[in-house]
Amino acid sequence: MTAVFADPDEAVADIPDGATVLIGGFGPAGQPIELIDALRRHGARELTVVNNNAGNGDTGLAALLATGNVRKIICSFPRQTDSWVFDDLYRSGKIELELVPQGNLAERMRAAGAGIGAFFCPTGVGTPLTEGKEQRTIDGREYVLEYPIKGDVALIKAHRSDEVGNLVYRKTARNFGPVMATAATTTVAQVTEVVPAGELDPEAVVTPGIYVDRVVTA
Amino acid sequence: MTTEHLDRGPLDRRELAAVVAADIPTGAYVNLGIGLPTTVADHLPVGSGVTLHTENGMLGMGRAAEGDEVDWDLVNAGKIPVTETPGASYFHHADSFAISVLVSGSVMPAPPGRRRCSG
Repeated sequence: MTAVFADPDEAVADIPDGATVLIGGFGPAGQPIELIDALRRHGARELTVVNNNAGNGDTGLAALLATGNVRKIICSFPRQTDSWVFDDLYRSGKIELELVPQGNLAERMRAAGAGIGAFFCPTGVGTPLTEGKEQRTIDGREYVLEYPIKGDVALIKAHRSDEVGNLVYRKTARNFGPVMATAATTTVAQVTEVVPAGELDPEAVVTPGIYVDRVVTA
Repeated sequence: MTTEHLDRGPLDRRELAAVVAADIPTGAYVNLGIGLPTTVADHLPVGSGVTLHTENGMLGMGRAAEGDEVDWDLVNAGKIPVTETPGASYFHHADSFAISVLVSGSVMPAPPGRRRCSG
């Protein structure tokens, strides 16, 4: 069942300390700013955050990092011209970084959502990123074993939802949202509008409501 | 196409992007990555027969957005606002990196040869 919340703060109020939180977005596109701000106000500590990046400027994910409540970030592309919040935390040893190639990041969450125990992938073979990982030659090519990334919570942004949690997205803001929705125990989606069931074209639904626990208009 | 400019100095960035764009064969699927190569998109007119893939979930990416076209839900892999072309499609990140396997096998960029770039 999908619950419709009126307030982002209520939608994230039960996220516990130590949670692994999957946060959608590719830079600002698809970043669920209002849910991240609510999580920041909620104040859960010792979080592990999974996002493609590590925050831009001083808002959204960067503002969450700045609270010091994120113990570890798993991402593919932390350093950007405006990632100064992460840069300072990392240099001063206040945040742990797990760097994951971008396609692996997506596929590891897809695997989590699909109940895949692990998968072999060629990306990163021969680099420090795959040191210590189980390796196998398949059809003449080297692969490494990659494990799923599961979330306790996913915070994502979609364009519209219906009241049973079906989601449609907008342009490249879709990015990690559909994959993260499948990979978390509890998925919270912020949307511009929640419409009655039947108003979204079923052929156009990208994330079926079974994956979505909470929607909130923001 | 081979273009040499030994008589006039190096190509500037815009000229280089135009030369690269002209070298991409019709029917190719191309991922321009991030940074300077993404400006090649500005030199591929609609109807060029080249389909651009951007890793953040789109086939049919167009040139950079200008003015009222800017939509922060429509960006390239460098997070620069872009446009869509007729026939464009959107998909999530896991699908996009599966598509990368096809795109990376479909076309090899022409070697730069003796072209030079300034700036």
